[in-house]
Amino acid sequence: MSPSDRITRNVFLSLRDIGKNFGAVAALKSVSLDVEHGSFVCFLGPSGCGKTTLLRVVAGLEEPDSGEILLEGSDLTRVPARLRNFGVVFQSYSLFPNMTVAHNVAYGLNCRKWPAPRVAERVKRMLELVHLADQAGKYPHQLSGGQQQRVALARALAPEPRMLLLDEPLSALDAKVREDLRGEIRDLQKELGITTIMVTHDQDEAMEMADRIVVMSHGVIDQVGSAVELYTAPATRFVAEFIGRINVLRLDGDVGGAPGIGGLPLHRERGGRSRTIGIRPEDVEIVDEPTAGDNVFTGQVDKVVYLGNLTRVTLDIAGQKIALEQRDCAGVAPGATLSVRIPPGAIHDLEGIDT
Amino acid sequence: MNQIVATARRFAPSLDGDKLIVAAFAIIVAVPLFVFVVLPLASILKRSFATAEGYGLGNYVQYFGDARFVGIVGNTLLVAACATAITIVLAYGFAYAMHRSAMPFKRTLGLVALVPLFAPSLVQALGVLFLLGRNGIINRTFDLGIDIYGFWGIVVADVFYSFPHAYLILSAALAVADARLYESGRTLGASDLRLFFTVTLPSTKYGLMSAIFIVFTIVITDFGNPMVIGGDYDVLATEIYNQVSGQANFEMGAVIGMVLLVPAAIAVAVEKWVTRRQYAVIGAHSQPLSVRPDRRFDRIMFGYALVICIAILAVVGIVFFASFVRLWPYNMSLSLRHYAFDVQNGMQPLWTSIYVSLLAAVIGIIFVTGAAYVIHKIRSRWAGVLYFMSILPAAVPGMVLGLGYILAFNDPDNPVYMIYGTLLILAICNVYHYHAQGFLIATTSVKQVSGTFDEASTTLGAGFLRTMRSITLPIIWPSVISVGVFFFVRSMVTLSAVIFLITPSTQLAAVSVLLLDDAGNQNQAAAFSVCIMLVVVAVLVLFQLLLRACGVRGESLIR
Repeated sequence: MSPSDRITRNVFLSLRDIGKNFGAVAALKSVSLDVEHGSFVCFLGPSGCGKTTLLRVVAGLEEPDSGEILLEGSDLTRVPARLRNFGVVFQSYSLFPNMTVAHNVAYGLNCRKWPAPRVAERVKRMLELVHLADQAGKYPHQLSGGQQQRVALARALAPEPRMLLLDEPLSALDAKVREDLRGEIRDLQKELGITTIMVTHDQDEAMEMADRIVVMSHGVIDQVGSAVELYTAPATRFVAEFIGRINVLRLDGDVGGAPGIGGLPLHRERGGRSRTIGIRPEDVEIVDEPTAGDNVFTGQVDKVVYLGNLTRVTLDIAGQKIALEQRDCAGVAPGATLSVRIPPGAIHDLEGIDT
Repeated sequence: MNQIVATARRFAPSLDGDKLIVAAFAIIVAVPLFVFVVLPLASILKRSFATAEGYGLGNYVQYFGDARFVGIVGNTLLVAACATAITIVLAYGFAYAMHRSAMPFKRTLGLVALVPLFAPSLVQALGVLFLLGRNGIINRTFDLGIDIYGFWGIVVADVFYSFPHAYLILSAALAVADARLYESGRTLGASDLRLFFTVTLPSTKYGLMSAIFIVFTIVITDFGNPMVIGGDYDVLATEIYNQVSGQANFEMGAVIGMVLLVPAAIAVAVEKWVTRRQYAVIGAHSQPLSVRPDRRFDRIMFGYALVICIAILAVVGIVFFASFVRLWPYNMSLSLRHYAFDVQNGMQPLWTSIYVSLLAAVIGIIFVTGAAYVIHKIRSRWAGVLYFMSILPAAVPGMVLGLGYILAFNDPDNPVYMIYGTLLILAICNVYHYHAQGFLIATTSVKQVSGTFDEASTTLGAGFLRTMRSITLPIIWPSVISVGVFFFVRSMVTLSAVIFLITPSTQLAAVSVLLLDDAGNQNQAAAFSVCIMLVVVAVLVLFQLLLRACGVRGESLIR
């Protein structure tokens, strides 16, 4: 994010150089991030990347070893979780089993000593919001997983929190319920205009729901951007491989002034010279005339997998595997010789982080 | 919001009200742990090095140069090794029958296996004597001339005594299994015997090691059984009692205490190390093993389990029977005269025991669940210190703790002296003697709550006290009850720690059994034992019914 962005954007929550160690393990290494007012941000990454720890630091459930948290400019770093007024939804529902749905939703309001009539009214309104008004008197164990998570959402939102924090809220649910709730949470968030952070390891979930995605690995932020930005311009090899599929190719030494593949030069638009490049399978084009043009490489078909809407062909070019996905691959069979073109504009430089 | 932040900033960073409450709680549980666990142990350590010429190894040199003392150490280890081997084999077989066969009456058989838990340790010895002793039923009937006093007597009695402990651990190990391993093994052509040695045994090895160390500790530290059935065969636990109570030889007592402490501590440390490794056996994708009926195998297993249960019931049953016999073995007619309790202090010790046990239950509930709860709340390294003190008593044999109490508190300069010789110190001694087990029961349930429920409550704006009142206690109360019942039961049947602390006016029921037996009054000893067991069973049944009435399932009170 450039300095000019920071001025134009309406920064709500700001994390500065957050560090957190668990014993000898560094869970977060000097993480900085700005979250805009009213936006839906996803922390995305594999397990152990620090995304949950970062969310817990924001919630106040973990104290950072270094760095500070600012909410609209005021320092939140040492404020205990109970005074932050953030709504948190956990992966494991965590509805209080000894209380009814209504009492669960009322809990945060009672903690804030709201008068009883207001509590009742607010509980009713929240349960209507998550379409569970008729379940108010039930106990959590009488509800399905999806219903429980909706109650948890209502409970978190009831005290009019400043932010909503969701810790893998959907990962314990069935696929179908998960789909429905994705949309429901997103609608609710837009309706209330509440700044929201969600932790997930599911890239589809992040891409479908988030305004901005924060991709994390090994305790650092790899890249922050919209789904489109991350897919079309991954900043690191990790992001390129984590968001969608990508072919990673090692280039040979100099071939006519530029690195190449199998003795043929590879031209690219962005003028990069990195030895590791990525190319999305759908960007690889099949060339009918095997001899024509720049960036055309010929290899042997290794595998053909029919995926319904697409066909994935794996090709062996000079000892490297390249997968391509096209709608129409009629007549392509294993063992056949096939020429493909790698468009210069579709090549992603992946050096810098490559190992 | 700014107002909230401003309010918070006034407390921040270190004076947050919740942190103060947690710190206060931590001190409230930590101080007694230090006073009633660490201090007594330190006193023993100090006394064992105290000689006429100042501190040194004099006492150790003296006693380890004494052939009789070395012999007693050898005796103790031999008895422990032998009883452990027998108990483990028998209990493994029993647990195997319970979990890996389709034999009938599992529930009943499983309950019978736990019966020895409800009796003071010397009751097994008493029962074995009524069966196999000089005047026992078997010798009287068949005139075999078996002499059970001594080595074998202790071994047999301790096998009965430690059997349920081994069974509970092995049962937990054998209850879970990954069916996929058995199916793969079978499809590869393995026989049942090969499967047992290549799958079952390796997957239960941690439970097995755990059980071995627990039983070994129980046997070397057991006092009641060797006292009743040991005859001339001295072991460390009886020797420490004789040296301290009989001859006021505190130096030797302290040396024996240290000697007993070492193997017990090693056993506990290894056991903790082993259990930490146990979790990997079953993964998220494991398939539970379902037992297939096999008529022949099930019959053999049923027969085996039946024999064990009959033996256990025989030992306890004969004590019941003897309590109604007019004068064993001369006049075998039945009578209720032994329940008159017309000697010694009459019924008083039983009431005293019940009172002390209730007191221990209350103290245990407050301080032990308190310790378990507060440890999960503090995030500094003090949590580790508190945890260590909480489970340290597992490594301290009762006799050693009791002696430590004498050495530390029988001193007018120590503030605890005020309660020395009262019922309160007996209750406290019981709580800290069994602190580790009670603490682990409480920790299990606190862990379930402290994860997300606690955090959910906190993020919704609740403080420590509200979370405890509205979330934690309403969820964990069955476990709290269970901790209380645990301390009640242990206090009713324990003998070893309190034996050093009782006075004529604070005599306990289990001690009465010992004294009555010692005075040759076996029938009354039996009657008193029966009363203890009835109280224990009544309390267990009462609370199990209470829990069930409140809709709580799956909370076992038998530990």
